[in-house]
Amino acid sequence: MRNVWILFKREMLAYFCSPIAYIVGVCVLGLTGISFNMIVTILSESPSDFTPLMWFFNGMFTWIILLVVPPVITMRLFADEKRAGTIETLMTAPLRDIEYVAAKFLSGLVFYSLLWLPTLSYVWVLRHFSQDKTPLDLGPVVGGYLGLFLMGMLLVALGCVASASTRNQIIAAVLAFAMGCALFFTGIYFYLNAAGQNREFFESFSMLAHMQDFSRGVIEWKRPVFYLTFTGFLLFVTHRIVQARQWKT
Amino acid sequence: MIQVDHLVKRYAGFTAIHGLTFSVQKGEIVGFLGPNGAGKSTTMRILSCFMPASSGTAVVAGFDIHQQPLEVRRRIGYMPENVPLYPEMRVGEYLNFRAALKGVPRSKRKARVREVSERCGVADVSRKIIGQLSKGYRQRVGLADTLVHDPELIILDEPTIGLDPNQIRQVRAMIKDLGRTHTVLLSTHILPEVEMTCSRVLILNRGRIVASDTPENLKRLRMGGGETVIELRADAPQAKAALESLPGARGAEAEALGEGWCRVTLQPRNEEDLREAAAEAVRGRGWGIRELTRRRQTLEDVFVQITTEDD
Repeated sequence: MRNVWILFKREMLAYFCSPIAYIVGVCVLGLTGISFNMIVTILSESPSDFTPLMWFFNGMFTWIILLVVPPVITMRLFADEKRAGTIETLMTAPLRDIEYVAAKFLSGLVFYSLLWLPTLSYVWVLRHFSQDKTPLDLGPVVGGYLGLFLMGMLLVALGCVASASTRNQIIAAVLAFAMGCALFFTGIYFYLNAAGQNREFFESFSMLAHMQDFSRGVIEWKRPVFYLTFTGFLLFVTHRIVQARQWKT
Repeated sequence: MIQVDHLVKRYAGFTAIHGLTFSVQKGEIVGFLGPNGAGKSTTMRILSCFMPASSGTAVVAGFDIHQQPLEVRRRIGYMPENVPLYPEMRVGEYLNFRAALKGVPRSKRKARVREVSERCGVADVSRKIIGQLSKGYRQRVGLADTLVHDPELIILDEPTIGLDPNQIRQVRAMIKDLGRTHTVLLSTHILPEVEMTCSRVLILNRGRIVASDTPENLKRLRMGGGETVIELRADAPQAKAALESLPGARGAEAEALGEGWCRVTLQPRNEEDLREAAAEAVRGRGWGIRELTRRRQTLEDVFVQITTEDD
């Protein structure tokens, strides 16, 4: 555990030393800002059945961020250690492979979460300036952010798998993006196939459907379980890829 | 300190090392010598527990590399080829991170980092960002990293590659200095380096140890003593005949140099020094002489001879 913390601190430092952190940060703030502005503008002109938070969490910009940001922030994690050869100095220090994977994943997840942190100010702005307090009870806020966190966790783990399997950051990012999109569009199929068979099966993969529930403040126990187990599985895969170095040929 | 037993490493399609067996005693500085692709780096990576061997095993600092890799890693300092570092970190930060990772307790970390920084000459750049350092400084940062947890064994893969002559001299001095307190295993293909720093040499070729001895013994063993070269004013065939017949000479070659001079190269039978006898023979015949030397054999000759023998 101590090693995870030591390596985690270094990873966070690496994030904040790289321009990518700031570029991603600015993009996320820009997109969420535009999204927020549009929601407020639309809602002040015509009333809607949806609450502002539902607009926010289910909007196109949120999905762009969810699909693009995790690949970008995870591409470096494993690939660059291999490219630079620092994997050799790391893995000849008394560090277990599992600690290495855990620290990398956690740093990606924490950095991802930090990116969303400023958007909490939008919630505050809405609460502070709108006369009608009802659309802003705590349930949807907690639900929506929990949804963002869980989906981010899964996508960061997906990014870890991609990054661990190559030494080229670009390939890692593209691979992670492709896998994220595949997952996302499997979920879309749930809508296209609304009346068909296996509806429930596809719903369980549908991030889109999950997010609608989360942003209404509905948290079913099976959702966190799905994201946690899927993430666990992906981290297991990452661990195996890291260990492939150790295979005796 | 190191006991290697029939170590084999196969990659897909080819075998990098074929059953290496050797041992390194505590306090030795052992040089791994070999052409590129001889298996030096592979062996070092296995010994430092970066990757396992295909078969065979090794005991490093009292622990088996396959059974207890973490224990081995705690006791060694390994510097890979080309010294990979994190370019975005500051030198002090990096050494502190490495010390923490290698289990130096927090209370001693600062003192340890300061100590190795001073020893390796990076104390004055500890606030600098690694990416902006020169190659020589990076090498020293790498060396400081290998020492930071005071390991029993230091493994250095090509520690002087890419450095300028002054830096090479500094690094060598540092390695010699380290040899007083630590066991060192280093690899190189620069021969003078081994002659200068190592107490023992292992010559590797195509994954096999082809020679193992002290640099001096190796030189002696391979070709006996050096040949004697004489330049004299005489007819070449005559001079050849006269010198060849000396007791202790194995053979001679002569070439005419023009203006009545010729050069005779005399091979000794054992390790005999033929200079005196040759001078005597030349003087007896009244020939003029302008050079008489015994050619010292370098490790380079030995190396070339050994590693090309089976071609």
